[in-house]
Parts: sequence; C-alpha cells; structure tokens
Amino acid sequence: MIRGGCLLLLALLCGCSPPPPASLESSSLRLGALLQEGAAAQPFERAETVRAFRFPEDHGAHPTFRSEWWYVTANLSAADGRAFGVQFTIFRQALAPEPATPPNNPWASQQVYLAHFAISDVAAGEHTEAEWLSRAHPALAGVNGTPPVVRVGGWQLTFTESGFDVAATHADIAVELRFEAAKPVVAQGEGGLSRKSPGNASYYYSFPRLTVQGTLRSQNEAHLVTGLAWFDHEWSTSVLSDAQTGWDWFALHLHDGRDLMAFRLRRADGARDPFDHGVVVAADGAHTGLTHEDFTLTPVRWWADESGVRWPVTWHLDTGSERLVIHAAFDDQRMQTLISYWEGAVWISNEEGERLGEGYMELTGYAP
Amino acid sequence: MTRLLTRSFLRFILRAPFSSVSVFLGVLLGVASVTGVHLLGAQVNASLDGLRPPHLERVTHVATRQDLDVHHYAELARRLQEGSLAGVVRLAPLMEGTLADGTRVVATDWLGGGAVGIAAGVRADVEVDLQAAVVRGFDGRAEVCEPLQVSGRTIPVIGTLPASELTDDAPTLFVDLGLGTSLLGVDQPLQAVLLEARSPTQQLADGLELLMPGMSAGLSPPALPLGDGWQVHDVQTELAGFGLARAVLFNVGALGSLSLLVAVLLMYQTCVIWLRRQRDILARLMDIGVPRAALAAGFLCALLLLGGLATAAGLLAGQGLAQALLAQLAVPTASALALTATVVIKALASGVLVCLFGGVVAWYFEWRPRHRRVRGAAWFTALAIAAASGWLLSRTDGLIGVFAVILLVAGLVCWMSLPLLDTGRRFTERLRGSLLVRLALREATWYSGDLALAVAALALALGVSIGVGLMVDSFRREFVAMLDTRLQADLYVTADTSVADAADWLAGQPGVRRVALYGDAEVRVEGQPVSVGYGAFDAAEARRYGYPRALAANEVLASERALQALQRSVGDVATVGGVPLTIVGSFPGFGDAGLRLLLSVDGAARLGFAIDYRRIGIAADDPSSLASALAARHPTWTITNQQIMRGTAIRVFDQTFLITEALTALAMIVAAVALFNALGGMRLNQQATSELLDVLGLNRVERLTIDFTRATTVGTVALLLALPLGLWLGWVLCSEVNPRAFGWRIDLTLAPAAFVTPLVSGAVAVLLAGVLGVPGERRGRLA
Repeated sequence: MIRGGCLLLLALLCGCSPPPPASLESSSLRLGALLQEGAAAQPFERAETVRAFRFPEDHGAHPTFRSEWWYVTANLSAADGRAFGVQFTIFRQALAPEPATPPNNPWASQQVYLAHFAISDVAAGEHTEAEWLSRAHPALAGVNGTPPVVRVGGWQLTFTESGFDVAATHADIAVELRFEAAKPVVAQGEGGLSRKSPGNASYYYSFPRLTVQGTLRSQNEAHLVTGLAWFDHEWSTSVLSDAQTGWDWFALHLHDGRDLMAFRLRRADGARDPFDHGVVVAADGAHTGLTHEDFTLTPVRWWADESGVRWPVTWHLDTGSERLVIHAAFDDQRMQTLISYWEGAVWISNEEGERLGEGYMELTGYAP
Repeated sequence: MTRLLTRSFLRFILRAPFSSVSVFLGVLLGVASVTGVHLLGAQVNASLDGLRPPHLERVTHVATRQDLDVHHYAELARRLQEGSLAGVVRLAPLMEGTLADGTRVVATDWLGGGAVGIAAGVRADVEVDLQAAVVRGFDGRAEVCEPLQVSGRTIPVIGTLPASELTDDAPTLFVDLGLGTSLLGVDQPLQAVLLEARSPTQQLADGLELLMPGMSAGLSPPALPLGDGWQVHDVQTELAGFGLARAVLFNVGALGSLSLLVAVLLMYQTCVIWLRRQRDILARLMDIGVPRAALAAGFLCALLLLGGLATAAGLLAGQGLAQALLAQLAVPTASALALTATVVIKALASGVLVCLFGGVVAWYFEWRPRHRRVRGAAWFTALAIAAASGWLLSRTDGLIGVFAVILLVAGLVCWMSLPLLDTGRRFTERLRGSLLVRLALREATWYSGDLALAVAALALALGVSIGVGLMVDSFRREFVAMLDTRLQADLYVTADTSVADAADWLAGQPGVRRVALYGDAEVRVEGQPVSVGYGAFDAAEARRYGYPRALAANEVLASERALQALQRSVGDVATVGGVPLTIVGSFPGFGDAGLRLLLSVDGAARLGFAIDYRRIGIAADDPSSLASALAARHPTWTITNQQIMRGTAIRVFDQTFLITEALTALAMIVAAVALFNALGGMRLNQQATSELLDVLGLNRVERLTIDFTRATTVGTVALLLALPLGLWLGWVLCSEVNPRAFGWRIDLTLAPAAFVTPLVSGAVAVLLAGVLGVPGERRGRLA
C-alpha cells in the first residue's frame, strides 16, 4: 500500500490538527477524594447502625462499601537499641457498587487497592516511603481466604489466629514481621460505629497493642526487631463532611501498659469538631471512650518543609488528669505519595521531659 | 579601558561597512537557519505529541515474551514494586484486538499503570470513566461526551484523537482492560507490557530533544534488560511513523546547522582581515602598555555587539523562514510560531558562538608565534582524520555517529583548503604565459591565509548541496520507479466494511481487466507490531513488489524496514503467529512507516486470519466511468484514481524537499557572502598594485580579466574540495543515513542533473563575488 505520506514530515504536518487539551493526571482514581464522598455515593452500603463484628470474616474486605483501609503502625527497636517506626497501610476503593470480582472477567473489577509502606529510621533521621497501586485481580491485588490475606502485589498482610503477619519489600527497605495481639480487639465509637460528621460514619475496630517481632531492612542493613504496634481496620462509604479539612490522629503506647488513641478533626471554620474522639485502653484491656469534651490536642511546635507547608510536630494532649507531650521522633516523616500526609514515629513525655512511651502520629490535610 | 577599546573597534567596524554588513548578514542567516529549523521541528513535535496514542503516553519500552499471560505481568509488577527493575518507574499490560466490525480495541490498565494509559486525548473537564473510551479514526462519528455504539454496546467517549498518516487508519478505541476484555472476550491474551523507564540516556535524549527537535532520533535507544524470556523493544517500534518523522527532523536540523557553520567560517575570515588591518595600531597600543587581554576583550565586545544585533534580526528572520516553509508546504498552523525561551536562548547561543569562536580563533592565530608549515604533517593529519571517520562510521549504528563523521569530514575539507591553496601557490610560481593571468593566479594563491576559510565555506556549502542533490535525485528515481511498479491498477478502493461482494459485480463491468482484493491484519512478530497485507499473490501481483513468481502459502515478502527491525534477510524464516514463513523477497516500501509483510491469501488462512477484504485494485479501460458507477453503488467507499495518486505522491515528495533546498540555498548565500568579503579584502590589500597597474595603462577588460581569473581560481579550488565531499556525502546519505533513519537503502545514481544546480549556483556566487566591485573600494573604505 502506498500512503500519501511517503514524505513523512509533510504527511505529518498536513495531517495534524492542534494538539488535544492538556493531560488529565491520575484523574481516573480521584484519590484525593478517597475519603470524602457525599450524597452521590448512595448505591454503596453505608455505616449507619451498630453491628456486631465477626472475626475473622470482618478482617477481610467489605466491597459493598466504598472505602476501606487496614492500618498498621509499629514502634520497633533492634537488638542494639536502634529505633525504627514502621507504617504499612492498604487502602481499598470501589469505583462502582458492583461485585468485587466478576467471576468470568477478573479485569472488569471495580476495586482498586493502594498500599503505603514506610520505615522511619530514627537514629539516621531518615524516612523512606513507597506506595503501590493496583486494580483488584486474582494475580495482582485483593483479599481472599479465611483468615484473610490482604495483598497488593508482593506486599501482604496475612491474618492469623492471634494477629497477623506483614511482609513488604521495596528497594532498600523491607519488613517481615509477626504481630501478636497483646490486648483484645477494641470496637471504636459506639460498638464499632465511629461517627465522623452528621450522617457520616465508619465501621472501625482496632488492635490497640500488638507485640511485634521479625526482621527489618533499612539502608540495606538487616535487623532483628521487636516492639509494639497499633492496628486499625475501618470501612465506610462516607467519612468526612465538606466542612472538615483533615485530621490529626495519635496512637500511643505508654510504658505503664495503657494504650491511647485520639484524633482531632479539623474544620474549615477553625472550630472544635464535636465528632473528635478517642479511646484509652487500660493494661488489662478494659477500654474507655473519650469524647471531644474529654481531651484537647494542641500543637506546640511546627516544622516547615521545603515547599513552606507547616506541620505540627510537637503536641500537648490534655485528658484532664494528665498532660502528655507528644514529640515527633524526627521532623520529616512525610509520606510524599499520591496523597501527601505526615505519618511517623513519636515519643511521649510528661512536661518534665520524662519519657512515658512511644507511638505514631498521622497528620492529613496540611499539604495542598 | 575595555569600554574605550570596544568603542574604538566599533568605530573601525562601522567604517568598514561592507565587511560589517557581510558579517551581520552571515550571522543573521546562520541564526535564522537554526531558529527556523527549530521552530519547524517544535511544530512537528507538538503535532506528534497530539497524535501519540494515549496508551503510549510516557511509555519508553515495550516488553513481550512467549505465551505472555497475566502471571508474567504480575511477576514483572512485583519486581518493580520491590525495586528490582532498575530504571523502570511504571508499567501496564497491553491487550489488543479487532472487533467483528473492524474496530480496533487497544486496552491497557488505566488503574495500575497510573496515568500511563489515559493522559493524552482526554478533555480536562471530563471525568475519566473506566467504562468509557478515547477514540481515533471515527471521522466525526464520535464526539466527546456523546456515547458511541460499538458491537451493540453504548460506550461514553471521553477523548478523541485525530487520525493521521502516521497512525493506523482503522477506527480505534483506547479503553481500560475491564472494558477491553468485555469487548474482545476474556480469553484474549495480553500482547505486551508497556514500561516507562528513566535512565541517564533517556534524560540526555529528552534534553537534546528540547535543544534540537528530532535530536533524540540520533541516539540509539537505551537497552532495558528484563531477564530470561523477555524481549524488550524501544517504544518507537509501536510508533514507527513518529520515529521516522523525528529522523527527518534530525536530518533537517543537521542541515539547518550548516549555515551556522559557514557563518563561523565567515566570521573567522572577516576577523582575520580586520585584525590584519589593525595590526599596526594594535602593536603600537601594546607597545605603550595596553594589555593584550584588554585589546582582545574590546575586540570581542565589539563583535558581540554586532553579532547581538544580527542575532536579534536572525531570530525574527528564522520565525519568518519557518512560517514561510510551513506555508509553502501548505501546512495549516494554529497560530504564529512562538518564540519560546528555548528558541531565544538557542538563537543567542548560536550568535554568540559564531562571534566568539570566529573572533577568538582569529585573534589567537593572528598573535601566536609563526611556525613554518609542515606540509607532510598536514597531509598525514588529513589521512588520519579520514581513517578515523571510516572507523567511526563502521563502529556506530545511530544517526549521531554518521553525523559526527560528516562533521569530521567537513572539518577536514575546510582545513584542506589551506594546504591546497599553498600547493596552488607553488604551482603558479612555475607558470608561464600571460602576465595578467599569472598575476591573478598568484594573488589568489599567494595570500592563502586571507582566503582559505572563505574557500572552505564555499566548498562546504557546495559539497553539501551536491551531496544532498545526489541523494534527493537518487531517492526520487527510486520513488518514481516504485510508483510505476506499484500503481499498476487504475482505481484503488478502500472501505470500512468488506468489499468482497463487489468483486463479481466489478468483474462483470465492461472494460474491467483485473480485480484484485486485499486485506490486512495486525500481528506481532517477536513482540513488534507488524501489518500483514494479503491477497491473491499471483505472479503479476508479486512482480509489483519485485518478486518474479506467485507466492506460495509458506512464503512472505517483507519491507526493508521489517527486515531491518526483525534482523532478517531474504531467505531467512520469520515465525508469524507460530507459523514459520520463508522470506522470499523484500520491497522498499518508501513512506510506509511501520513494518509490513505480504503474503498470499492461502498463507493468511494458514495463519488463522479471518479473511476480510477491505481494499480493491481495479484495472479498467475507462476508470472515470467505473469510478462514478462504483461511487453511486457504494457512496461510503473511498475511490482513488491511481494516476492522480501517483501525481500527488510525486508532488508531496518534491514539496518535502523544499526544506532541504531552502536550507542549502541559505548556506550557499552565506558562503557567497564570505567569499565576497574575502575577495573584497584581498582587492583592498592589492590596491597599491592595482593603482600601479592603472598608471601603467591597465584597461577595463584587462582588469576584468584579472578579477575573472582570480575568481575562477578560487572557484576551482573550492570545486576541487567540494566535488569529493559532495560525492562522498551523497553516498553516505544514501547508504548510511537513509538505512539508519528510515530503514531503506537508496542506490546512489550519479546523474549529471544533480550537479547542475549546485555547480551553476556556485559558479554564479564565485563570479559575482570575484567580479563585482564594491562601492567605495577606491576610496579605501573597505576593510
């Protein structure tokens, strides 16, 4: 066949119209809206009433809800005392309220998985993060089995009778960790129904204290590590209202055996959000809910990154009976991923500076 | 002090208006050439970006393997996730297929691959939907936001891409894998994995592309080894037309730099003359303690001021040149070509380069200690450069290697002008005969230092003109020959639907001598996309492609590009769809950007193709009447008269090479200006002799004889250099540049016609430069 364009330059030029409009970066996922969906989400199931959790089934996915995440944060130390923080999170987002995986066409799944994995090397002051995005597909990502295995590519969280295992590798960071529940599951909010704004809630439970052991590789150096961890599993169809711009979340393990979780929802108008809440889990596993009237969280030191975004990295947590000072293990523990946020290891002291424990802090909605 | 010296040099330059104007003109034309080519290339690149299929956005490599399935892809993805795929930042699986109605479906993972699959061709105000498609080639049947009916399904359209000669003609849907598998069937296998890799080589190519559009075509693509079983190709295998277009740009860009090179020679030559004339004053200034560096700085500042003005004018002239070339090529441009920061910086850098290089080198050679020339060493160095060029040519496989060799040889030719003039000098010393002729010859060769680079500039421009002319002439001959063999039918029909039913009707029409049906299929051979054409390949049909007999079912003809890409030769076996086929012949396929194989309909059936004829070639006694009848019967079919197609193809060919003609003409003008300037300077140097001859009674005819002989001598020396350069360049363009850039080889034909234009224009330039007097010459205002 002879095409008129033997002379490619002319053919090219003659055949061209002006270039199409600008690209639409990553818009298919609308990841920025991962946690903020409004009334349009009606076809999905919604968290509206208290329900009893059933395990191990509820460790798995709930594809009839729009969003879901499994969140592990751990404070670890090596035999030589070197401290590390580990974050391993898997998000699930449904693009349409359809069965997770049509049996005859795995490519047609409407489920998307996003995994975040980070290690904070406290001594080196280095935070290394990685993320992986995949559509649900039996060969690529998804949740299956009982107890469930939550997998995104080669990263996976495998539930066991008494906890779960986490395995992830990326370039020069890797973990292979076993998590054993040291306290029973805590149903957050009202028996697991965690209200975040009027009409918006999630189903939410936590393992407040897990003992951890395993291997960790950072800076291409392998370490045998042990420590404590917090685990959250939450699913919903809508969580935040339009008036809420982000949150500050803390999971703390105190040396006296208590574990404490508290979060502050930030509002665009600057007012205290009535849906702020938390939980204190005693050493024996008994837990007490905290409402917004029971605690205050106040940022006392800020760190500005190179683009000028200011992150609150030291906080006061007042519970009436005590004031805890929460210090970032080091300032720059940002997750520079599709969603930009700060998630990192912290240590806790009293006002006199006496060290009381370790934990994790998450700050969202600060970066544009 | 520098300011004072700059003013002083500027005053001197302004008092030498003709050499100043010639330098101004040289820099202007050099910068205009570079700028014009850059703008032209940028326009083409912008168009290419607009045509790039969305699934290949930012993709750099394509990986395939035997029996590729999702587990292979998952394994690769896992390796990327673990960080063990060096350089790879993104990947996505690719699935392709054709629906029963002929619509092509190209499916990638719009989720896992991030923005790989969807970035281009999508309207920013339309939200991406996994059940939607970006479309191409639906000719107005698809509009953004309007759903499209395909295979009984309603598919929202979120982007449209224009069809072009560089892309497949078939209506194509670019979709997510979910929708793709729904359309093609869940059993459809994956064809490839698309990868985005970043490497220093890639970054270098991107940087060079910014600097000179098309430059990246000169680099060999970086290898990306994935391990056992994987075959990895550069993405250009998927974008064959784009690669060819960029190779054209590279060639045009290289040619556009020629004027700049000639302008450097002009600047050097003029600076030598200026410094020679200022030498006594400069020496006196040095004697009274003015530092040589300050003098040099003043001289260079004056040059830069002059060059800066010329650069600004060249920038605007380049914009006009690009606009004019595009208009001449009948190319619609959306708006005026923008002078971006890159263009301005590049133009400024070009102007500064010309001024500084010419000025600094001239200054250095003017003041360095004089050494006796060693002629033997000169010839030895020339031989060494020639040998190095040959070695480089044999050791490199990219375009940059060839152009490095061309640059080396061009430099060698420039450099040889001096020893050649010196040799001429020794020859003229022994000459007898007319005193005037001997005087003219001696003048032309005696002051070799004043004239050598002007001669070199002319030789360079003339040589390139001859070389390019030879290549274009040879290419045109082969192209026309290909048209004559290939376009044997009178009418050619293409359709979106099957044309098989029309064959019997056509055969029954009066005056119809032959009806040939053709079909096409897209396959991958060793991971590379190949277009397979099939039909009843009897002996007559096969002869159209230079093969003397009918094709057997296990035989195939391959385009030269296909042979090169698949690394096969005639006689080798290529496995297509698991079936081994013997390559029995090759054909040039000029203009066919992709890889093409041709086989008989039996062969197509053997490969499992669903035979679907979409094209017809018809030989008829009265093509016009038949075309009318056919159009009335099938109004949606495209019916082309082959003779019209032939004329169009040749016209397009000639139009395309207007660019090369314009660029070589520009270089020739700059060279003529350089020569005019050098000869003018020489005349001024000889003014005392001339006045003496006038006193002795030299008449106008005798004076003209001297000028004519001098110019002819200079022209002859330039020709002696230009002819071998031109012949060699013609050979390199045909035998090295064309195969490397486009995949086809051209037999060099030494047609006398190819020499006529360059030689005539060269002769005119020499004679005008040599014979034309310069106003004010006698008043001594000429530098």
